[in-house]
Amino acid sequence: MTAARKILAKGGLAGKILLLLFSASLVGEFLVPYGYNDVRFDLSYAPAIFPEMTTSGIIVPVLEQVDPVTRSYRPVPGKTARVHFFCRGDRYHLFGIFPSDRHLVCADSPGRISFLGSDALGRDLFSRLVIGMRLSFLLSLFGVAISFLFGVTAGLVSGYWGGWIDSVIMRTGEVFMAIPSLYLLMGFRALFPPGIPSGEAALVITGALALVGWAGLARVIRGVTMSLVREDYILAARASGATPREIFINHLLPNMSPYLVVAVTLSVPGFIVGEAGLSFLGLGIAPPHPSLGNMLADAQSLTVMRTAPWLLVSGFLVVLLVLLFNRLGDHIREND
Amino acid sequence: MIVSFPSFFQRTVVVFSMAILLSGCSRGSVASLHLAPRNPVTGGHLSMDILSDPKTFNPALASETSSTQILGYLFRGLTRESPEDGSVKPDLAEKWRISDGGRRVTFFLSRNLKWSDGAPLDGRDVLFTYRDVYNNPKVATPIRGLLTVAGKPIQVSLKDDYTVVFETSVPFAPLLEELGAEILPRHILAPAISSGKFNQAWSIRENPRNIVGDGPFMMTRYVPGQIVSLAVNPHYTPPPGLEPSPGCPLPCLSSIDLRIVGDANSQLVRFLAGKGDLYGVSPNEMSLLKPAAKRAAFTLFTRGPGLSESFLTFNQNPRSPIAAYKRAWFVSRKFREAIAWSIDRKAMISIVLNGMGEPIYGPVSPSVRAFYHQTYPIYRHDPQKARDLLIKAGFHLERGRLFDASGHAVEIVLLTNVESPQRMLMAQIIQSNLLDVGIKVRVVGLQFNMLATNVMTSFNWEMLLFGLTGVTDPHGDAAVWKSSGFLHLWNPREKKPQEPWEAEIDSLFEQGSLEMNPAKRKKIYDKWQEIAHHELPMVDLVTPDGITAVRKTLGGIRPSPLGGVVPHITQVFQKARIVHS
Repeated sequence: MTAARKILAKGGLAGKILLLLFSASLVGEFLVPYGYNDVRFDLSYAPAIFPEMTTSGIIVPVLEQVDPVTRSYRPVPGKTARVHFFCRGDRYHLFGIFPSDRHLVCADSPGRISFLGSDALGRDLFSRLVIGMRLSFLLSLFGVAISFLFGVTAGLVSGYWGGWIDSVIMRTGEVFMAIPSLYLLMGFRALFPPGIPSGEAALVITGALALVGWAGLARVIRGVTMSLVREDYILAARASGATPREIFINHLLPNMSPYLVVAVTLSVPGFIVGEAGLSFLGLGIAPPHPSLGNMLADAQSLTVMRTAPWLLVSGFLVVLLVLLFNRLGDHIREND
Repeated sequence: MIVSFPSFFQRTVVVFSMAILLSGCSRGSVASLHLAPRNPVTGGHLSMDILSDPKTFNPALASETSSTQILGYLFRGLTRESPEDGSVKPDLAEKWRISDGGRRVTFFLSRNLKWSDGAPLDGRDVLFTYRDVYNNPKVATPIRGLLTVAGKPIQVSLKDDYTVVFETSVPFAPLLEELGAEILPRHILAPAISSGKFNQAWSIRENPRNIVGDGPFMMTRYVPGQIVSLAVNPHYTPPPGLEPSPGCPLPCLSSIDLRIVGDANSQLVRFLAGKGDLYGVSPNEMSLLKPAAKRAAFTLFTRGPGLSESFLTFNQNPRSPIAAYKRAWFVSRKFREAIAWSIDRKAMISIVLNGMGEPIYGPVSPSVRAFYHQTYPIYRHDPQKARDLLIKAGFHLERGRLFDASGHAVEIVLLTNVESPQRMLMAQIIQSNLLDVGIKVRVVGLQFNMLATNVMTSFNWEMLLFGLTGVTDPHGDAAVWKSSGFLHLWNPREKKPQEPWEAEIDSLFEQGSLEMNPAKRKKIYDKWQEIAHHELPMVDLVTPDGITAVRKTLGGIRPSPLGGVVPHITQVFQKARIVHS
């Protein structure tokens, strides 16, 4: 909560948008009309269906396929479906705990409310996008946490003691940095069987990303530590018998915290793009679970781009998130 | 700290820029193509895109399409297969006689045949090709397997320079079809055989002009990664009975260019822009091609169901490491039948194949008219029937989930190859179909090599979605259906058949290869199709329609069920050219 308040206070517009997107994705199942794997074989690549206001209430047109070859649809004349709020639909567990089947908005069957159109299996793209975005958020936050744990520890230890410890840690980090990150990720992913369930795959990806990401951070933290260690107040703490742990926690970390906050926000995009990249290549989250990467992979053929250009929206969302996080980092740095 | 992913960003950028390009196309910013008729039509040019470089120019060693497609223009065999019905037609041999109850075939070669360098082609070349190349254990040729009957190679001998005799120890029905393999020039390749260097002969580093063939064209140029150019072979003699197109010699074209374009999307864009005259269309590309046909001056030929089919199969192999209770499901015929009833093939066709395909319910494609046998019942999408069958087989439903008699929840891992987006889509449709009958399926897409290792070597798989290209003669399916076959996927290379019906199919394939009477032979293979339909070791799903886009500049095009749109390359002519205004 304090972090959220801090982002609201200091993060500027980018921070506010990110916070909104993140909290919306947390309660995503309630906000979206359909489950991420709610297939409708008769609505393959159907376009967006928006609700309309009429005198008898809010309705959506019911679509039918005219030509399976060109995937063209038309509204069935005289047939509409009513739109309801706080209605019952797909069952889900809110936050993975509370069972529910309430949705903010949905339409009577066979009508469908669809803000962004459907994918090949007729699943609602908007619903999948929100759930996929949550995965990106959670994965990247988790990944950042892990890589910071490793990176900060390694950096502090290296910078504080120096000597051979410093050499060993820094050279190891350089080895990781020297290998092109995508290959390192793929290699790490290959250590695990390809058929593991999506949840475990997500953890493996996070682990892989953290493994790639810690070294750069460790290097900078080491540099900052080395310069701080020579400061008088550290010498004073040492002279008065403070243990290295006390020095790390009471003196070093608080003094480098502005840098850490900026580094966190700037490293999140790497994780978002990393997950998207791996899933795009088929090494990350496996369908039917949505992720920004595997949804974009659905759109990579020329034909799909032509028949269902809305599938590219997950790519735009990746770009948007990356831009927002970068802007947030800049904003915090400028205003600190 | 920031992890960079250049390749991912590049691909994203490519994806977006293609989208922008396309949206431009759709608004008609690309001018439509204009055609001007050619008269006379002789001496035309054909160009096509191919996906990859050839691996070899040696017909005996070639095994993948990238090589065989090119070599098909350069070489010919004793016989050829009719694209209409798969029957055997004369090529180098003008006629043949079958005697000794099918154990001996005597071929009579046409006179005055010549190689493309002008040297005469006669029976000695045929003898060399079969005896010294195909039957030579030192030559790494995939053809030798086909020429082995009852464990013994086919014997070849020369009666005179124009009469060649093939003999087998037992009658072998598909013998004539197997003898369509390319004939090689003895005067060029004999030294390579005697020096033991045949496996390196005619590699892609060879000067293309040194490849001496007997087909309608010869190679003039090969630039790796770019182009293969062919020109007409001046010494070509057309096979007997082949009619030229009006106003044309055989062949009518004077040159063919095969451009190597390694990406299917680029090929599609190039074809839409007027580059290339022929394009093999996959059904999902129809949404893009159909509206563009007029502007880009091409015709779409739909030839009906092709030979390639996709199927679902189950691991019944007792040597496999999967749990015994899971294998027990797969061995149960009722379970497999329930799966067959649960699949919504109509949805598959409409979603994956844009409505351009046919459901199939048995091992022989309906396009193989000589052997196709309609079997009943037709497995329509009927989840209720599937649930009933499962309950009869001892399963029970609990809150919508299926459990077996010993209380295990029915959860299956479905493997398929990740390279094919269509197959991944089909797997997700199957996943959703099977969820309706309470079966939870996890789809795992693997790279092809890894998939092959899992299925063929370690047997570590449960359910497999895959495709095979069928053959016109059922004997070609022996590797799949005989219990000793290496492609007998559900239980490969069995020492002896595990199930009684497998033993019966083994004996049917044995009889089928010995029976020379076509009507009796069909009966035998009908029986096989009935057993396959009833036992369902493979649940057949759908077959895509064969579709080819042909630029309106080409004549002599005739769609046929088995041979694409070009019945014989020599009959194709160029009746118009594209004018750039």
